[in-house]
Amino acid sequence: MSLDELMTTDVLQQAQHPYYMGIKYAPKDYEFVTPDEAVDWQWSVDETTRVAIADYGITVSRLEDENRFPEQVAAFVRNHQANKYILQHFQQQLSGLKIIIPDHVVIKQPLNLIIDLMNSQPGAFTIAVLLGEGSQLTLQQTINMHGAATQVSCVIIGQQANNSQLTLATAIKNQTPMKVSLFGTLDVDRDCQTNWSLVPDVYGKLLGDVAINLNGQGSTAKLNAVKIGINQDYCGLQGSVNHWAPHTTSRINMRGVLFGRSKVNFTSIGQINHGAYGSDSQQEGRLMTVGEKAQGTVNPLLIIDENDVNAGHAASVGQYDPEELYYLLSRGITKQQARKILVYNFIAPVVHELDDNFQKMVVAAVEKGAGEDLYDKV
Amino acid sequence: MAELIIDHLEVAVADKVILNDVNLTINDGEIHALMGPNGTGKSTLSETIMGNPRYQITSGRILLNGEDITEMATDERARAGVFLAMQYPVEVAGITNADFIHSAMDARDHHEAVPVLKFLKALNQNMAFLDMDEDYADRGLNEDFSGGEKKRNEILQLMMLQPSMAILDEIDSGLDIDALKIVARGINEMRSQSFSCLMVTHYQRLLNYVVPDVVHVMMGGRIIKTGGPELAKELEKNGYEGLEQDVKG
Repeated sequence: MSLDELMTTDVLQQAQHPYYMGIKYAPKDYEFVTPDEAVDWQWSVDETTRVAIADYGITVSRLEDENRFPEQVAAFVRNHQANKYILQHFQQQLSGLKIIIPDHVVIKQPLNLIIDLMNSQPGAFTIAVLLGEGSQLTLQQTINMHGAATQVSCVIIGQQANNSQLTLATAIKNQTPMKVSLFGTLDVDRDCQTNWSLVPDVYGKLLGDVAINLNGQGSTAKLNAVKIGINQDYCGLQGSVNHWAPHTTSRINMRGVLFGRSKVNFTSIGQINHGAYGSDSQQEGRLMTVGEKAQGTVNPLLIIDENDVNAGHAASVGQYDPEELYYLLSRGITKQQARKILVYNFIAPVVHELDDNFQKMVVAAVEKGAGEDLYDKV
Repeated sequence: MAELIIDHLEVAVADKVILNDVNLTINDGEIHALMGPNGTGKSTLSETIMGNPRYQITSGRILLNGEDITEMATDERARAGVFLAMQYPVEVAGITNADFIHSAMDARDHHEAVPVLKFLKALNQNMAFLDMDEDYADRGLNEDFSGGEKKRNEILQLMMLQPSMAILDEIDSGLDIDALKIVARGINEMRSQSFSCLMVTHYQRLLNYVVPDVVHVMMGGRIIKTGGPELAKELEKNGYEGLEQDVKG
């Protein structure tokens, strides 16, 4: 199906700005006008990854070079045709990367993929990852935004075939304030394991909606996110796992530390659909508000249409635990250091899922935020 | 030096007066026991000496080695040499036990880094002395420690930090006899002319293993009686009620 067939005038007219419970974003922030200019970008990998790509027959290709609109991308558009931003994204020239991992390929060492965007105009960037049956992969994607563009839309599309295991980490980094939207979906077949960590190190505003669909029975998904809010950052992020098959398991863990005047809204959704009996969906969303003017909300949602299931959620928004702070101080540790320990303690469950480079990125963000708030109140 | 003077101390929590005109002097090298029934202000006194912000000093002073620490913040008091072994130590999973103790030692030495090898040697020695398994060093601070392990870990911190004045708030409660002996061994190891200690306890049992120089009895937010180690034995025999009548009579 071509793109024109998907995006008919009717579809375009009926599309709306998405509604996310508890996420208060300004719709205009993530809208942009087509500059009709290709995104200026490049991808690179380290030596280990280069060798692995060659050895295991992994295909990495630019979406710009595709002759036809890739079917996985078309399916994504079809499933999201009510979302105005996603239609906007695919009205731009198609830019991005398609990564295909063949069946029965087990890659132990983590692969690192770096994407540098250098566009000066608003742009849309798409990544598709297709993991073959029985394959195992750890993939770390870093999307660096260097250009002067003030708006960028990212779409990540993933598919996992039966019995595969994927550990995916996605970091987004930029230098100047930017408005970034991120939409991602990972479709998972049966008996799979999925672990997706998001590190939106976005300076400026971020609207994000990422979802994992557990389509086949016996699969397990973990969805983690860590956001360090600095200055006037805004982050509205929804993370969801949809259980479509029996005996599927999900864990959502979202943590945010809010420095300065930053604002964060986290929404997590565990949805167990009819027929997904024996499923287990647990979610946790926590924010630590360090900046006195920082604001945050956490909205955990469980939507359950099946009887024989397990589900639970935990949520919190607050400052440091005064008892923990006191204990550290009682050993002579200074207030600023004690606060920093408690910040790291707070994000540890999510940060421990990340590899060193990504951990360093989070630490750098905390140090930057700490410069504002952990010191001057001492 | 290790001298603590509590001078006419009055303390309130949420505007309710808990401690009333408490006076206490602990001289260099002395170990004092503070006994008394539940809810009489023993923990309040411990926490107030450490500077817990929940407790407000409404009058009186606390002097450590001649220096007035009444207005000092908790971390400053700690660096001045006060240590509180807490009744319920909290868990902070994000920092390992070893890193935490090392950081505290660095802070005590005004951020002069304590050399790693020297630190590890001392840590291993003290852990062996307290019969603690090596892997407790790399576990999160108090993370999933049992009640007894937490208490032992408080004594480990005491031995590593070498404060001049330690307050041990019910260090003996919830310990079986073997663990109690180990904890007592740690406290006795600290005994010296440059270390003084206030042990808060309900039970006489601890005092069989750590023999105090002075015993105080606190009731109703005041110290009502002070004596030698025999006072603790008398208490065990006659109970606090007997003592109360004795004092009133």
